[in-house]
Amino acid sequence: MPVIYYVILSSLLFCIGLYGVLTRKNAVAILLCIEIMLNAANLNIIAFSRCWPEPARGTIFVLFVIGLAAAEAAVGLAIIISYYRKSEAIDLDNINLLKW
Amino acid sequence: MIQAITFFLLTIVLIGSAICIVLKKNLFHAALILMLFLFAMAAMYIHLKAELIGVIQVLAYVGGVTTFILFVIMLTAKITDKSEERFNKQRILSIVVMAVVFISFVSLSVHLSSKKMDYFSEGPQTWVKINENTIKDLKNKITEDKLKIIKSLRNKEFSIDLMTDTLKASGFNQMEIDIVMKYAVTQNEGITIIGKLLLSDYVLSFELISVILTVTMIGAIILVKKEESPCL
Repeated sequence: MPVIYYVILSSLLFCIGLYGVLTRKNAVAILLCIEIMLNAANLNIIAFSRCWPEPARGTIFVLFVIGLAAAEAAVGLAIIISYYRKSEAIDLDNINLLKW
Repeated sequence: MIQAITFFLLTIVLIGSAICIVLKKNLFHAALILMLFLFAMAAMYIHLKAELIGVIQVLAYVGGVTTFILFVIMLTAKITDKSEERFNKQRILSIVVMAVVFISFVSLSVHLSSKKMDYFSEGPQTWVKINENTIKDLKNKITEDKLKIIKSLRNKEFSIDLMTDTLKASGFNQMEIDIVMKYAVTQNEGITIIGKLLLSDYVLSFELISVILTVTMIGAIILVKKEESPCL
């Protein structure tokens, strides 16, 4: 199967995730959509690396992306919990503590 | 054929669950659908012959990140409140942004694939290599002059189709090709290859990711700890 099918699938998933990130109000929902976007990028890397000799190198980059995604989720959820303790709500339209 | 069917079935599951996650009102359900999405993605990696990544996806994402997200959803009770509006006022603008990004991605990749790039038009496949061990294993199993042909192919990577065609062109029959394939090293998911690369070419990134994970762990603990807690 030509690689273009995988590219179209992953860009579609990326755009669905992007729409969610731009429109959802809830912070946890935005984290869910970021996970979709990261997975779309991983799919793209794997599909391209399988088309070229030395496919193991693509695998290593995806391993790094998965590690970073876990770190990002941990920090993001910690911020959400500590903000929830302060204000009892995580509606992103009302979060403006750092606004000048 | 079976590859195409798997691909399209997985595509339907992936896109359907992604749309569900974005539109779902109840966040708990959205997180459960994210689990389905991640499982389907792991299946897609295995379909692409990246078995190691598929397993790590299930371990790290489905087992770790999703459970963590479910915990946070349960801890912040108001999240499942159904009365609130889910979307902000940028919906139409966001659809425009999404369409522009999608069209630019697809047109760029169609433009690139229309150029003559053999590797990309053939698509993902399994890669094999003949190394010294392969030649040692094959020594008594095929004739001397055929071993010479195999020796001329060593240390170069071939896709399985290309390897079969090359061997057929040099007069191998099907049984001999099967024997060669049995001993040739598969390059896709050789865990030894990945381990060697991680500790040679990518050792700096490997160490950095462990530093990042440690910093993240400490940072997350500091962020959520109570101000007056005696420890820390």
